[in-house]
Amino acid sequence: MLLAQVDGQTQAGLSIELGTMLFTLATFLLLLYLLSRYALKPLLSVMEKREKRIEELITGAERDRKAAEEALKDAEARLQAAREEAEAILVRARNMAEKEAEAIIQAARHESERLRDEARRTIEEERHRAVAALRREVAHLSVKIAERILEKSLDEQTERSYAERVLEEVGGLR
Amino acid sequence: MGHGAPVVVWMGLRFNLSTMLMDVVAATIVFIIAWSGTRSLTSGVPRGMQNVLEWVIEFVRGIIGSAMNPRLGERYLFLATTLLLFIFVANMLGLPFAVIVSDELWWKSPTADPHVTLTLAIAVLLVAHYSGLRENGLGGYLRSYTRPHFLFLPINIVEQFSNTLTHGMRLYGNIYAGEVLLGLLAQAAKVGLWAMFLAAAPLMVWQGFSIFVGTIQSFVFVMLAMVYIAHKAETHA
Repeated sequence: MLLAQVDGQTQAGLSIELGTMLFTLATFLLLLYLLSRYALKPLLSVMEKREKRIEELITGAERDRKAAEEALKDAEARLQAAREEAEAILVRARNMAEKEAEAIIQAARHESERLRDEARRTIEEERHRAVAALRREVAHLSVKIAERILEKSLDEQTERSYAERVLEEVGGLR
Repeated sequence: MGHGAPVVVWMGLRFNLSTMLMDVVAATIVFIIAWSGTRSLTSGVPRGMQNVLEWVIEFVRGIIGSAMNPRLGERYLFLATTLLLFIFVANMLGLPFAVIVSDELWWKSPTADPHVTLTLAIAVLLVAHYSGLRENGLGGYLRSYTRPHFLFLPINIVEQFSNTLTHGMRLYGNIYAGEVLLGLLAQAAKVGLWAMFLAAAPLMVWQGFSIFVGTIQSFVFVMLAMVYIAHKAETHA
């Protein structure tokens, strides 16, 4: 049955239907034109537009990334510079403080030495003065004692020269 | 199937009315699909039918790219896309049902008619030879028949006919055979209730397989079309 049916079809198809072929070609060409004109061309242009936009986005992102990287580098460099400057300031301040302290200590030492010298000098002077006064007193007393012994009053001039002589003798005793 | 065809003769040319009808139906469906998918185009994120159509375009680009230089192939993008969509829809048309009016088969796949498939194959042949002439000039075009050696001249000439014939007949054979078997299985319904139930399972299996075959054959047809065109247009490569 199958063979008979296929045979029937083959016999019917033996004569070429040129009209069908021409019509098919015309239909296909019309479809090709309409599809291109109304569907595929707009679709393709949209796809191209999207491709371009994505490309732009990618290049833009790349550009932004580079800018951000540069900004970061710049900020880091600035931070480093500021840190170094702060360090330098700190070192300078420390040095200055040390110098100042040294100077103050030096000044204090000088002052104390001066005061000590002055005090020593004053003491020396006082001692001289006291010794001189004591000598005078001793001389005077010696004269008085001698007067009493000799019962003779000497004039002031003689007394003084005598006293000085006695004083020298006493001074030799020192 | 074994039914007659509504053939009329007009101005000395034979016209198969059912094939012509199905041509128009297939073309109309393709156009409606493509047209509805490109109504609200966006260059943002594509959705729905636009996404499907963009996938088809990329798919066809892949086919072209595997056959020839993509820059040259961009010229054939619309032809290949139209061929793919038209043949795919045409192959699917005969699957759900057939309409037979007074023993004449009206609803079928247009690609189950060798006139349709051979017409498309011949159109591809013409495009291929035109491209060969345009890309390589008359001298380059003629020299392509003597490649790789002068002795290949007869083979190269025969190839032009055999390629086109097999190109068209392969598609026709696959689709026609599918419809014959579908028709046979469907005839079981006439025999009786039991036969109908018995035939239901293989019928569905065969329909599924026919969908697969129809898809593959539309891909194969476009692939071969691009290969033939590349063969003519890229002789120097």
